[in-house]
Amino acid sequence: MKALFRFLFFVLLVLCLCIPLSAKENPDAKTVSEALQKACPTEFGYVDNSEYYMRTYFSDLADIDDFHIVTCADSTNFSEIGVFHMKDTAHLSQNQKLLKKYLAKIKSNFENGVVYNTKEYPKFENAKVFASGRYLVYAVLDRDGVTKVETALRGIAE
Amino acid sequence: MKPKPIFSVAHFVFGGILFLILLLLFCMARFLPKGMYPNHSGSRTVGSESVPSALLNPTEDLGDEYIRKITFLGESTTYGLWHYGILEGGKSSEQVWTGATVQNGKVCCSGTLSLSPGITSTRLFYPCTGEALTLSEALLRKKPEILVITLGLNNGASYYTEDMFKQCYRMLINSVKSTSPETVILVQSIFPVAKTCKISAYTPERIRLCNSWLCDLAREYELGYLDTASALGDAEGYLRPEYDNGGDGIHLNREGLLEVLRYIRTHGYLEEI
Repeated sequence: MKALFRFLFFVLLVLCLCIPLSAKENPDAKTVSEALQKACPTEFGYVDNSEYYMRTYFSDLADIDDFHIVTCADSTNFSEIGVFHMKDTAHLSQNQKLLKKYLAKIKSNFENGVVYNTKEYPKFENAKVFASGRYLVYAVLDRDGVTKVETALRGIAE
Repeated sequence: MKPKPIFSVAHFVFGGILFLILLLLFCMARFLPKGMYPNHSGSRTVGSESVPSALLNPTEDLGDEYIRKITFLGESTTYGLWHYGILEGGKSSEQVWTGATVQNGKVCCSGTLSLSPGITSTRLFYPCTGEALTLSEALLRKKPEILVITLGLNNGASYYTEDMFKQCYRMLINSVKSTSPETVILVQSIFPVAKTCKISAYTPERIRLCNSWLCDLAREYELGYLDTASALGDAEGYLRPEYDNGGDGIHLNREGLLEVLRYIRTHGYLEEI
């Protein structure tokens, strides 16, 4: 009987150790996004636009099972971060292309007069798509911000 | 044999309930507070065009007292009201709500705002206290009597589809209605741009189209629609040169904004007569 209890205790211990590990391996898109926002904070924080953006701009992305997209709460600040989690990496390249197309489109919108806030233009030039594991991220930030967000993602997802 | 009564208990109960219902209806009609009602009645025809019922019709000049009831929420074209100091309080007016930003560590007015899906979470500069608040927070503080919304040139006129445009605007209207249900919302047209405007996306056709979407929304929510664009534009739909501030062709000068206020005063949202 004692041996059985020892065995069950050992099994429970292993399970307890494994759960946090698996959670750490695959935090949800919102958790990843919050970590990336922390790496590149703004004065008024970010606004969650996930549902609208996914429906409007990213419905063509394949095999996405989780996402979180934020823009800045200051209407003169065009910072934007999108985090997508893919079911697998089979469509990674296709999804990357679609996100790059989106970034080209918003840059073109800006150039065609969406806004005349020229100090924000470098963010559209620095905008970048990058992947880590099954996470796909795009960031419209200044150069320093993009680097910080990319580094933060590697820390989370690798 | 006992004679059968003409009126049974059931008759009295039924009659009593009927009486109470009638009394309730009478009280509702008599004592409900008079609200403000749009100054429009169905659609009418001007020339060959059917004018939507949301359009506010001409009224007598309701004067500055009417303007004082209004809070203006809008982008940089609305910011001009503050910049030129033409509202009560001049450049310290508390009637203009536009975006907030931070400069040198201090919250200040950005002078612009954009229609976007995040519009209800975007920080507004709240002039009464100098804080950066969300729309709901500002509404809860002030509960404006009338809110004139002038948004849609930024983002909307340049590239939003009808669906995107209307979705963002609905979020905005729903937020105002739920946070401050007593506030009368007036949707104002996007102002026309000058012929000299270099932003290719802003054409009279495109602005007209966006204004038709605003009109649809006003009708959908039974709000008043201020067709100020008609007073500011020429026959082609461009901003009249006398109202252009001579900059980028988007922003009105003092005379242009005074014309906006004149239009609002003479197309009022009247109290029930």
